[in-house]
Amino acid sequence: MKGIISIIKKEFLNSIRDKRILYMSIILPVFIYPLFLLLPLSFTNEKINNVKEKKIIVGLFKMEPDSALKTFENKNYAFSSVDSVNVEFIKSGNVDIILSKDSFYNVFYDPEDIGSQLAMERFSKDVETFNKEILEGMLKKVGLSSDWINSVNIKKIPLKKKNISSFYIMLIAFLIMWSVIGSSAVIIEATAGEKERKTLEYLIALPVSRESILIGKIITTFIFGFVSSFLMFLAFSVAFKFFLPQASKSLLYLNSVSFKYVHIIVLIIILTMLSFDMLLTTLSIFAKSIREAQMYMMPISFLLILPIIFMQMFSKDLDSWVYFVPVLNSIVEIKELLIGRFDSHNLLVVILVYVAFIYIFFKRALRSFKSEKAVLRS
Amino acid sequence: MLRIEGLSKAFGNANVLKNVSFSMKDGRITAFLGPNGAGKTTTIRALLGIIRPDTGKFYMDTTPYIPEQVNMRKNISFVLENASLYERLNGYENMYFVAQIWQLEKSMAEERIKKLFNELEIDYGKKPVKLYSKGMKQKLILARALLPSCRYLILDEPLSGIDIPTKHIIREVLKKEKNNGKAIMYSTHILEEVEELAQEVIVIAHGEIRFKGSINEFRSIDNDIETAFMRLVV
Ligand SMILES: Nc1ncnc2c1ncn2[C@@H]1O[C@H](COP(=O)(O)OP(=O)(O)OP(=O)(O)O)[C@@H](O)[C@H]1O
Ligand SMILES: [Mg+2]
Repeated sequence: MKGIISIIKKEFLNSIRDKRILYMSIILPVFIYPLFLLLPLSFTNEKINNVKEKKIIVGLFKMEPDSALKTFENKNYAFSSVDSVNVEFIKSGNVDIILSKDSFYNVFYDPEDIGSQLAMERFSKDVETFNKEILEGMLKKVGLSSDWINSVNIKKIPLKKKNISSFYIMLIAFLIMWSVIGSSAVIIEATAGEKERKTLEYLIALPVSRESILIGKIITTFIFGFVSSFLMFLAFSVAFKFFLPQASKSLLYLNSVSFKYVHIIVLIIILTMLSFDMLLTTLSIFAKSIREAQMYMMPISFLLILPIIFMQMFSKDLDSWVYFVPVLNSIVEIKELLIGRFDSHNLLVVILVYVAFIYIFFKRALRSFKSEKAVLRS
Repeated sequence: MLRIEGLSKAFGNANVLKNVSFSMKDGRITAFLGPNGAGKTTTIRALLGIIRPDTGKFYMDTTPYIPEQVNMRKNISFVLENASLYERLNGYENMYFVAQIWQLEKSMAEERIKKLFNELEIDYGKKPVKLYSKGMKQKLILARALLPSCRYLILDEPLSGIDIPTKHIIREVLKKEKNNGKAIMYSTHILEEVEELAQEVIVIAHGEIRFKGSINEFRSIDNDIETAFMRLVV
């Protein structure tokens, strides 16, 4: 036990001073990843807000503003005329929508441009309101109540809570994956790195068991991964809360999330991360250099992303076998728990799968670490 | 006394060690002398449990010594060939890690580190080891081996690539350790170092022990010790 603690202390000092490790497990997850997410989302966010407040420019084709349209001018619309119905006018930003008139008002919009689309929606809503106001005025003249317009009223009542958004699930999945990939730098440094720097032979000759050394290294890796994912979670939360309040409502449905089972969620995240730490340890112990270890890591990172893609494709009906597939089972189980569904049977399967995974890969890693071939490989 | 009996090791079909037997005595410096590729490093690796020998037994006095057993290994400290320090840690941190492994008490460890740094003229700075000069690194590597004050000290070419003043300091420290009753084994292929330091000599070549005896017995083989060595290793 004392041996493990001194190994952890040493690995910790060594890792915290490694620029690559700091970059991978702190800078990337806390600053760079949220930024990747913030930029495109804030762009959309801004556009949505803009259309709500800004003046919509309507391009009129072969028509003059009629009396109806003129009343729109004080509803934040402006009119200009265009000589053809062409999407280029919208693309260039000169107009938001184009209007022409036969027996209808024809509203032309660019479905690929969110601004144009929102302008069209606002315009049709305003036309509706306009019609209603006219009708109300007429009814009033003949002394009838405007209630006659809405002779049938509707009220929308959801039968169940809105499901958790798949975007939110993806975010959690990426959170786990990124932190595993981030902390892989720690274990690579602690195994292949020691070999490369010619300190591994010294370390294993010290009076401390190989088990203790290996456990110390894995614990350090896990701590880095866990802290890194926690910081990343905080960074994303801050990003959503303060910079994208709009998006956090429309993309995450945060109101529908329940944190009743947060302790179980944390347990699943810990097990998932530990399993992958074991797998990475097994691979990087064998590698003779950091470069070689990184090469082994690449397919693993891909393997981690596969279930996420899979989830996106078959999110509707997943059978119970998914609980046997590592990573995929974490994502599904966390999702279930977040919407407040708890199934002890499925949870048990998930936990057992990970315990077996951790056991097998720890044994495998230890065997490598005890073989002189793997240790002296250079 | 640390005794090796019938040690053999093959890598593939290369027999690197063939029935090697010798011992290192308390209060003596034993030179482990042999040309390149003779099997010195392999012997030391087997002794420290880094590799597993094919045959062979070890004894500490009369009790069997099993390198895989961590508690038994606590009696041996060592300097490995081409050993490196943890470059991102400073000198003190490198030392303190070793102190923790041997479970030295904190105040004791600090005192010993200070003493060794003084003795070996290592600056007690806060800079990471990667900024140390080569000689300073080599002294720190030796200090790391002396810190736990083990009964047995095994050094694989501790003086390679070091300037004369530094060599002088290290030699003096080793002599002092020997006089405190330690059994020191010291691998080298440089004859002057043997004459300067050793009381016992073991010569190994092609994985076989070719000579074991006192320095005087070694000298009596020939007037010129270089000729004596050449005759033993061919
Ligand atoms: N892991 C290994 N795999 C295969 N062969 C090895 C291995 N380690 C050592 N050898 C071989 O064993 C022989 C003895 O090597 P060893 O390092 O013990 O020699 P040495 O006496 O320490 O030499 P030097 O003075 O150069 O350090 C060499 O021929 C070497 O090539
Ligand atoms: Mg050697």
